[in-house]
Amino acid sequence: MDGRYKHMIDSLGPDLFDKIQNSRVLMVGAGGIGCELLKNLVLAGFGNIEIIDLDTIDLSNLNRQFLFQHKHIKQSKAHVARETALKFNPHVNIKSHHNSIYEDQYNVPWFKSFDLVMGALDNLKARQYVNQKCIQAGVPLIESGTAGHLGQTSLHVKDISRCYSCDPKPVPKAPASCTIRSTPTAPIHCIVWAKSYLFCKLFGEDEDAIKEDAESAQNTEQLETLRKESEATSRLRNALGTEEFGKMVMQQVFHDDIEELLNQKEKLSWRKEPTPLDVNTLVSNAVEAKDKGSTEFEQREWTPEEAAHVFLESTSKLSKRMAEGLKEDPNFTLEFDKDDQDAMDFVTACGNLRAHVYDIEKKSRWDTKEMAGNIIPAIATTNAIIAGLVVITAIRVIDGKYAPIEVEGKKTEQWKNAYLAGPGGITTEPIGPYNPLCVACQTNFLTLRVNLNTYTLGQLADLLQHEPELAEGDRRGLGLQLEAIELGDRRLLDFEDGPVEKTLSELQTKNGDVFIVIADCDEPGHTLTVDLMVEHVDSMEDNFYELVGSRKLASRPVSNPEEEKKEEEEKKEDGQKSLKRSSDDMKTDQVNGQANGSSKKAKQEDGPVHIDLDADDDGPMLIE
Amino acid sequence: MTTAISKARLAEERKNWRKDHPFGFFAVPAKNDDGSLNMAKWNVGIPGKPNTPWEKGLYKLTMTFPDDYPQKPPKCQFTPPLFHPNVYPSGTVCLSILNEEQDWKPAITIKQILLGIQDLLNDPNPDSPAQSDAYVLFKRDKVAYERRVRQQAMEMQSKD
Repeated sequence: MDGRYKHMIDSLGPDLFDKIQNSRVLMVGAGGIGCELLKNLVLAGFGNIEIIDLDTIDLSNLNRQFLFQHKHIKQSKAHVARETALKFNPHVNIKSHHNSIYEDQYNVPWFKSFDLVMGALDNLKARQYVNQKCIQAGVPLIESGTAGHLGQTSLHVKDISRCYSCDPKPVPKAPASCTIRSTPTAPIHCIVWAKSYLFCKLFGEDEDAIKEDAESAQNTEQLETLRKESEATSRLRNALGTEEFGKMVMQQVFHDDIEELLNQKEKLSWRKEPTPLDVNTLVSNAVEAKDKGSTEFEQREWTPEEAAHVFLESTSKLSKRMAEGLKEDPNFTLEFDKDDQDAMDFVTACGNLRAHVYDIEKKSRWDTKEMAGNIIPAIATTNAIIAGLVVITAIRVIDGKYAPIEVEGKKTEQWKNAYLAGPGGITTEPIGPYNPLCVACQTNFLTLRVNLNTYTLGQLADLLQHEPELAEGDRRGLGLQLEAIELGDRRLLDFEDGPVEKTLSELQTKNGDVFIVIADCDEPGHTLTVDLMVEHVDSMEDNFYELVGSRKLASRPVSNPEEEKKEEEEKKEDGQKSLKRSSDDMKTDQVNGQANGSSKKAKQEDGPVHIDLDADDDGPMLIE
Repeated sequence: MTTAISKARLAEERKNWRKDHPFGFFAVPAKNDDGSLNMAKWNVGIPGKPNTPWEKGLYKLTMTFPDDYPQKPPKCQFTPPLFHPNVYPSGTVCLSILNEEQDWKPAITIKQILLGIQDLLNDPNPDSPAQSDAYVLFKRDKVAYERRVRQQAMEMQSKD
């Protein structure tokens, strides 16, 4: 034992190492970062580890998730990761959960049982959820993510540092459908058109898309256009499998449809007018590239003649597959798959030809694959670096060194708790202060111990509202101006209205559940919320209760949507045309917008830089 | 599972609406079977403006809030479907501020949405027709269209 950990003990000292050995940590997610992290944790001597992941192992994971092998495909990530890690170090307790973190059993008391939670997740929603549970449980959270060559870790501790939700996260916006259909301006628009529109129209389930369109456009001109389009589509689909198919499609989508657009009564606003393809010339000049099949060909831009050749070839292959399939099943369709050679050729060639028509930059097949497949390149090395930084942070958390230490009223050290890794190397950031507007962490937390089978919602409401003076000790009320009590997606009590006679268990409250209590407060522009966790005590009689936690409740300022809108409106002075109706009624209420000075300030405070990394998605490893 | 952000915003909207809302409107979260409220689904009533063919009618709709509200707009659906050029046969309202791809912004409040829909009643947008019945009549025969609207207003009078 000593031999295995000698270096750890030498570098950390026996006391800290002892703490690490006796700590209990949770790792959420056993994917790209998770595998690296678990390996590091067991080798560093963390004594008790629980891992949870609902996913199973996929072939595409194996290039970077080194705890898994080919024979493990389709097995639970959590279980296999545990087995493999135990071979590295059998002297560790690992418990694995092949389950979703959203399950009820993973409640606040469960989170509380850990000294530290490490998130190695791949999506925003789960990150926000785990963040909230950690805040409620008062457990430090180390969050991490990577995307390509970039990665970050950050430590979030309630009341000390920013929580994961303190910074608003950008939401990716899909381009508008008319941009895709008629007015593309960027390569991605052409690629999405090829993949989601044309591919589906020719080889996919098209019926629904047409019906939906028909519902949204019922004026005569639009209907007429749609009718023509659907006629054209059925004409094309009837030609599936024939020699002429490829050329017909080309003529339709790169010539006729473009002509149609140019001749429309209502002029569209072009960045630059599209030029319809001269299909006959292009088809007769189509050439197979000399370097076809090589990496070079994959990564360079194609000439229109080369693109035309790939288009005709892939269309012919797909159309034959389609015709074959339809013989056996009249409902046969093809689905776009980035790993389907013909489909990728088709999408690349189509995207290229469309880009040519609209005079937009063309993308190589390699780039197209990344864009069409939504591939965020995951790099094993970045994951390894980030997992290493997570463990460094974890060791410090176990050592209690994450808050600035105050000596004689002065902060002596700012601990660096966010790491950013990228082409510029690894940089660190000190712990940032919390955002006073944050709805996730700027809330109060109390524990209510009651018998769920006898305690009613009405009694809870009374407790929350009663003035503190009316009773003693833990039986004092909270004196809140109660607005609502919510549990999950249900609002149990709305002002005074609600099923007050029902017991908490009749309202499906379980031990460890957290009520959200919302109250008004005297300070204008502020709200007061309490996360109230219930603990079931079977021996507690009737309406008895105990309230555990600080009764000093703090309110938080509410971000004012009308204020934000004003700012946004001001920014948006480039005279973008929006429907008259909408801009008008936005004005209706701006007069009432309450000034809320503190909200703006808070938003501009510097915290650790957050790149939002939702990464570690499935995808190929980039070879540098 | 709605996020903390979405929950907090809906709670704030509910509070603001209770404190102050335009005359004749109502907006309440739907009731679940156990007597609790479903904050992600609101039942709403919008009155027709006085001095328009829509007056005296109280038009009911449901607002459904997605998990990522207010990043995404709520879906507004008249129940029963309404005779109006910009209302789909399903009852869904077609309005630019309710369209994520167009003018929706997270800052738009429920009050503004409902006032926007009220405006839309008597001021339809002929550029984005959503049902043919109302659209065709509106285009071809304003008198018959108005008669139909008045009749609908009678049928949908508020019962108080």
